[in-house]
Amino acid sequence: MYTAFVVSSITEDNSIGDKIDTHNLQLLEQLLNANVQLAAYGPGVAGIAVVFVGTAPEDVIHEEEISFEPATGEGYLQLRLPYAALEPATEQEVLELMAQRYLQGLRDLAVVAQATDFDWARLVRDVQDLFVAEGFGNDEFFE
Amino acid sequence: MVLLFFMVCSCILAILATWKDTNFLEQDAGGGLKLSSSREAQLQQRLQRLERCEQYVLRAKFSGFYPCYHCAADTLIFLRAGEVWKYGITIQGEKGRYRNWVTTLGLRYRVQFRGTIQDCLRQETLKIYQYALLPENTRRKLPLIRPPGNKVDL
Repeated sequence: MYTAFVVSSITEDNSIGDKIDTHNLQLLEQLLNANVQLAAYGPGVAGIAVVFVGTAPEDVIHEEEISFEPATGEGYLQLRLPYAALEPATEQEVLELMAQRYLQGLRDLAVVAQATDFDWARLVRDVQDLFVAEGFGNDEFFE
Repeated sequence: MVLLFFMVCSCILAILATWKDTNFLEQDAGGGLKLSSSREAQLQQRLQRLERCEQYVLRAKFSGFYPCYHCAADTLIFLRAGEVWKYGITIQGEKGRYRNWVTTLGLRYRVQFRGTIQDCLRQETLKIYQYALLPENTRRKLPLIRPPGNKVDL
């Protein structure tokens, strides 16, 4: 990975895709890389890539995935966003949905990865605190 | 005599198939060979997947330097955020073909067309060739013949 936290997307080439990328992707990626150092939580995790899937329900090609490669310490998540909620949402609301789904994915990755000396619980808490501080939602929204 | 020859061959093949644990063949009602039901199911599944194809574009997420696979001596080219790096196609089940590009190069994936594999190949071809005319390309001192991430024409 070119950076510790990679955030990208698979979207339709339409206005809904525009709400997900590019601004919101850039914002999330830069925010995480500027404020969270994976090494501070222990060894074994070198990078986390999250790809948001914002395609229509009839898409049978792109599936959700949560995987961790112990050899490289890299987690890869493909997380579907609720398409019905994306359609009426503003770009800011889509960002909040992305942040919420990101945290859910991080919790699931913690279960999959099981990197024994890595403090996943603290990482999830810190990312949640960061998202709350940025105004993406409150703690209740992220629980 | 010929019929006997074919029957013997079918028997030998059936025995071989069983012996080598190659369960892709089985005997039909007439004693001949046919694809096993599991192999036939795999075939139908593959044919169905070829009907569900997607043509996509990979675009730069950030302005910066990206690999160029055919830029003469230059191996990197500058792309502005949103500019095209590659056109491609994928079908159901091709898990993660684009994954490396997205995670190591800083690209984002946009679905531009859905249809059969034939239709997707047509769309991909049109876009690769017509890339030469895109304003993002024609503004360059040395325009490219195709997107930087497409190694060859189709």
